Amino acid sequence: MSVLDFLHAKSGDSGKLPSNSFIVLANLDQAALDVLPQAVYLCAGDGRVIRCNERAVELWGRTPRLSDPEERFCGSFRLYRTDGSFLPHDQCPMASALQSGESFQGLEVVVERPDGQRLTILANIAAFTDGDGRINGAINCFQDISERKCAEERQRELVQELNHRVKNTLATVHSMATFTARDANSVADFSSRFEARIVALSRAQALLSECSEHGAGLRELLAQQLQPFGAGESARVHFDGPDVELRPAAAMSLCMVFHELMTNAAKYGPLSVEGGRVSISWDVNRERTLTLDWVESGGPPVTSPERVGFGTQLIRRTIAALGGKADLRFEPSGLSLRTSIALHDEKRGGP
Amino acid sequence: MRLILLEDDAVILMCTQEALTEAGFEVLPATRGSEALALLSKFSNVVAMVIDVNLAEAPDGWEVARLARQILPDVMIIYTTTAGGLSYKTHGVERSVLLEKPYTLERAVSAARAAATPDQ
Repeated sequence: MSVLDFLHAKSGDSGKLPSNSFIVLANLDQAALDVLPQAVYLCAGDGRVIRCNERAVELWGRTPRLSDPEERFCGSFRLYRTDGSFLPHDQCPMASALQSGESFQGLEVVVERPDGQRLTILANIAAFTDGDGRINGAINCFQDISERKCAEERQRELVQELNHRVKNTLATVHSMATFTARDANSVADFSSRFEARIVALSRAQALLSECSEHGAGLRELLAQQLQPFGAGESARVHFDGPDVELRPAAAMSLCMVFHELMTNAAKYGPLSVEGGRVSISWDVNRERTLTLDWVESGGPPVTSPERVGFGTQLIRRTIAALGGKADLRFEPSGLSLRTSIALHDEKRGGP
Repeated sequence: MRLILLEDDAVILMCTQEALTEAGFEVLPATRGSEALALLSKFSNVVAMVIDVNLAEAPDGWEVARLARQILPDVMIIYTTTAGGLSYKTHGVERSVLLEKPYTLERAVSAARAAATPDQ
């Protein structure tokens, strides 16, 4: 840009560069051109490429034959517009500049190299006129902005993904509110249950955002879901099993499952009385299937609920949605859940 | 009237299923595309499918709808999506509707009713 800025400063307000500058440029030492960090080339009035620097050759992926009338307007192999359509050399910005004498700043063009690789470049073109207003030639300073384009594309995708997740979460919260309302027997009851569910959901979300896109550890997830129940109750929850990494969907779902189980245990189950316990144990077999047992003992005698509540449905459905099995039993000695879920192996392309 | 409900979010599935059941539909729930298509092959008289577009596992909802039409050309399709209507124009099958998430249960029920009575 510095070369162009310098020349523009010389040209005053006309925008067109005086031709003596062109002669100076055309005769610049090659070493002076090559030292420029940006790609530069010069075309004569008829479009022949008369000078170019190392950086231009590097970006084009080829060396143009200088002053060859067969090779005009640009030293690149092929050009495309940013919408992907083919751009013939004789219609490229340089060709327009030579025809109209106009200057172009910040034009995005796609260059294809002979090996097929494509780069997005940002071109700045200025035409030179002689005393009679004839166009003698033009200079194009361009830079590779492919990386920036990639980053922009990635950012667009991320925003889209975020938007999708936010809406999905809202849909889940909305459904959860509807369902909690059906089970609740008072506004206060609704409010406390709904709040606890939202908190469980946001804890799961927080855990996932800390654990990157690969998922979360089962042990951390359990510890985190027990946290709101206080040390006294948590101490009566015993868990044992190997380190297991859960994919995000499974982690999210199991968080909700553990929340429903813990809430139930604290309100009506073993954690509502002295001496009650919850034991959680799990293992992973060779087929990478996780089998987890949640066993309650020492609580008040359990009777099968008259109707299937939100918690029970959520547990069954959630695990079914993960492609797993859930065996939830209301035995007099305590509630128990045996669940098995396939842990998708990342290497085999699981989600 | 029988319909298939494909939704991989357990909470949303539960809620929508209950609302549709209360509205008088027989709902066959599925959490993945292959499962929904297997249900379609197995059961007769399925009038409509409610299909979540963004599924965690392939095939996605667009693909499920296309395959469903090969199994049962008359089945009505109701897509549910968080992504707005943009891809619907290019990916949606004919004789289908789009239900944007989050949707109210009333809307889900009225969309299912409309789909089940195509003559109106």
